[in-house]
Amino acid sequence: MTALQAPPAPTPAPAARVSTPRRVRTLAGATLLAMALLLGAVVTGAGFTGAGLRTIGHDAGPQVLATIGLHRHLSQMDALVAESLLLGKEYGPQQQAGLTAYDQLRKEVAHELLKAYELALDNVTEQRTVEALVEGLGRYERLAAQARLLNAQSGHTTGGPPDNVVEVYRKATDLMHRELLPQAYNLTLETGTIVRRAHDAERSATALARASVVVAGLLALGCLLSLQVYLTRRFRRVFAPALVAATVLTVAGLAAGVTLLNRQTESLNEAKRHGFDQVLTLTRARALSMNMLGDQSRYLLDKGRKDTYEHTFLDKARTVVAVKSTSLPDYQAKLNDAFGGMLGGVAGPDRQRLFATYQAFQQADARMRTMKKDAAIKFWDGELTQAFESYDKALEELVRRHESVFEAAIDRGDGALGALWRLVPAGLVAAALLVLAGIWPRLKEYR
Amino acid sequence: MRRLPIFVTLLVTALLATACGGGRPESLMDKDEVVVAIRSDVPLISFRGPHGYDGFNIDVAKYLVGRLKKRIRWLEIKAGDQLTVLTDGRADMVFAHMSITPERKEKIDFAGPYHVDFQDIAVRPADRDAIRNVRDLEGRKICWVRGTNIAQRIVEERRVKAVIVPAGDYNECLDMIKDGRIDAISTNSQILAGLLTQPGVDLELVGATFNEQRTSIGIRKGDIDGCEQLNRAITEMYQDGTARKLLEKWFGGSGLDLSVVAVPQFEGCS
Repeated sequence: MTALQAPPAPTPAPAARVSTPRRVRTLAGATLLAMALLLGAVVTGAGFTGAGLRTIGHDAGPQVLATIGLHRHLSQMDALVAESLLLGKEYGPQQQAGLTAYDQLRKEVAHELLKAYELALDNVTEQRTVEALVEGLGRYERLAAQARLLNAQSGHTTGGPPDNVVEVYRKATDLMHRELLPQAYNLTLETGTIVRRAHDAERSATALARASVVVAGLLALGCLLSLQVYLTRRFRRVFAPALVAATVLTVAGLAAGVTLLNRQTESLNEAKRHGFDQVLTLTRARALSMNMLGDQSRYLLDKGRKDTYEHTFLDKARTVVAVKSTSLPDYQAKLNDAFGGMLGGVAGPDRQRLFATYQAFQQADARMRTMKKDAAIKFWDGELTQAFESYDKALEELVRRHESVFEAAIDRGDGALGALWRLVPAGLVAAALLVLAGIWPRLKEYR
Repeated sequence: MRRLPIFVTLLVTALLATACGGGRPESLMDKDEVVVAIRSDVPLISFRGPHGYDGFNIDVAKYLVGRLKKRIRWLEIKAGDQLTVLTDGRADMVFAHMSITPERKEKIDFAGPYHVDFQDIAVRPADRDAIRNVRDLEGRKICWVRGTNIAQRIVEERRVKAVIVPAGDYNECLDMIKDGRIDAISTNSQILAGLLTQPGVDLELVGATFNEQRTSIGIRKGDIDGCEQLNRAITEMYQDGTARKLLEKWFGGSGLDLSVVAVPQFEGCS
C-alpha cells in the first residue's frame, strides 16, 4: 500500500520520544487483552452450550427417550393378562401368542427400569420409585400367574371367566393401576424435568456468554481503532495493512462467535420444543391410549365395575383428545377435529390422519358398548383391536418423525459447536499476531 | 480513549440487562413464607380445631411445605374463591380439595394430585341393601349442592335417572336425608366420611367406587418450578409412609376402604 511510503518519521521533542512508544505499547497491550477476553468469552460460551448440548442431546435426553416406553409397556402387560382371561379356551393359539408377547414386554420393562435407575443416579427420590416399581412388579406377576392358573382350571369358553378369577385379577389390575402405572408415569415426568432444567440453565448461560462476546468484541475493536487512529496521527500514515487485516479478522471472529452461539441455541431450542417435548407428549398419549384398550377389556371382564371402567376410559379419552362433553356417548357424538388435549398440538395433515383413526376407534367403542357380552368380546378382539392398532400406528409414526427432528437438530448443534472451536480461536490468534506485526516497525523507529 | 471505559460500562450494563431480564414467572419457590389458601368448614379435611386449623389437607400442606423448607401463612377462603385467590395473587397455593378440570386449567395450574379417591354414596342404614352402587340410584332422590357438579355426573355422565333435589350446602342434605325428603348423598368419599362424623348423623357409606376424584393443589399459572418441587415432595410423602399415616389418622375409623393407598398419577407441569 502507498500508505507505507509516507513522509519520513517526524522528529518529535525529547519528552514525546519517551511517551510515544509507551503509548503504542499500552494501546497494543489493551488490544491484545481485549482480544484475549473475546477469545475467553467465545470459549466459555462454547463450553456452556456444549454442556447443554451434551445433556440434552447425548446424555439425559436420549436416556429419557429410552425410558418413556415404560408406562405403555406396563399397560400393555395388564391388557394382555385381561385378554388372556377374557378369551375362552377355544382361543388356545391366540392365548399362547399373548403369553409370548407378555414375556417380551417384561424383558423390555426390565431394560427400561435399569435405564431409569442409571438416569436417576443423583436423585434418591427417583431411585426409590424405580425400586418400588421392581418390587411391585414382582407382586403383580404373582397375582397375574394366580389368575391365569385359576382361569385355566375353570376351562371356560368365551363369555368371561368365573368370579374367583375376576377377583384375583382385580387385585392385580388394581395394583397395576393404583401403584405401578402412576409411579412409571411420574418417573417419566420427573426425568423430563432434568432436561427442562438443563435447557433453562443453558439458555441463560448462553445469553450471558453472548453478551460477553459482544462486549469483549466491541472492546477489542475500539482498542484496535484507537491504536490505528493514534498511529495515523502520530506517524502520519493512513493505513497499517497488518492492523487493517487484524480488524477484519476481529470483526469476523465476533460475528462468527455470535452467529454460531445463536445457531447452537436455536438448534437446542428446536431439539427441545419440536423434538423432545413432542416425543414426550405423544408417547404419554400413546401410553394412555393403550390403557384405554385395557379399560375396554376390563369393562367386559368385570361386570361389577363396568361403570368404573367406563369412566376411566372416558377420563383418558378426554385427556388425550379433549372435547367438551357430559358423558361417553356425548363425547363420542361430539368428537370433531377442533379437539384439544394432549394431541391438540398436532397440526396439518398429520392431525387429519390421526383424528380419522382415533374417531374410527371411538366409533367402534360405541358399537361394542351396545352389544351383548359374547358378541362384544368377539368384536373387541377383532374389529375394535384392529381400529386401535391403526390409531396406535399413526401415533407411532408421529413419534418417529419427532425423534428424527430431535436427532437432526442435535447434529446441527454439534456442527455449530465444532465450527466454533475450529474457526474462532484460530482467527483471533492470527489477529493478535497481526497486531504485533503492525506495531513492530513503528516501535523499531524509536530504537 | 478516556471515554472508552464509560462506553464499555454502559454497553455491559445494557447487555447484561437484556440477557438476564428475560424473567420467568413468579414462583412460590422464590419465597420464604408461602400463603396457603384453605377452607375451614370441611370436617376431617380442613376445619378450625381447638388448636388452630386441623384436618387431612392441613397436615398434607404442612408436610409438603415443610419439604420445600418454607413457612406457611394460612388464608381462609370460601368455596367460590379457589381460583380467584390465585389469579389476583393473594395466595401461592390452594388446598381446597379441588379436582383438575380443563376449565380450571385455563386459569390456574395444578401440582399433584396429592390424593386419588372415588365418588361414594351415603345412605340410611335401612337402605343399605337396596342401594349398593350408582345404578341403584335410578328413580331415587339425591342431594345436589348448588355450585357442585357431582349430581350432574351421576345423571348425565353415568346416565342414571335419579331425581335431583337442590340444597344450599351439605348440612341441608343431612337434614333432608334424616326426615326422608331424599334417599342418598353422593360426593367425594373423603368429604362424605367427614359428614358422617357430624353429631347426630346416622348414615353408612355404600363403598361404590365410581368417578375417580383427583384431589390437587392449585398454584399460579406458569409456576413450573413450584409445581415440579411440590410433585417431588408428594412422591416423597408416599414413599416415606406419611400418606398412609395421614389417611389412617383422619379416615381410619370412617368406613373408608384404606386397604390400597393409590399413588397419584401427576398431571404434569407445563
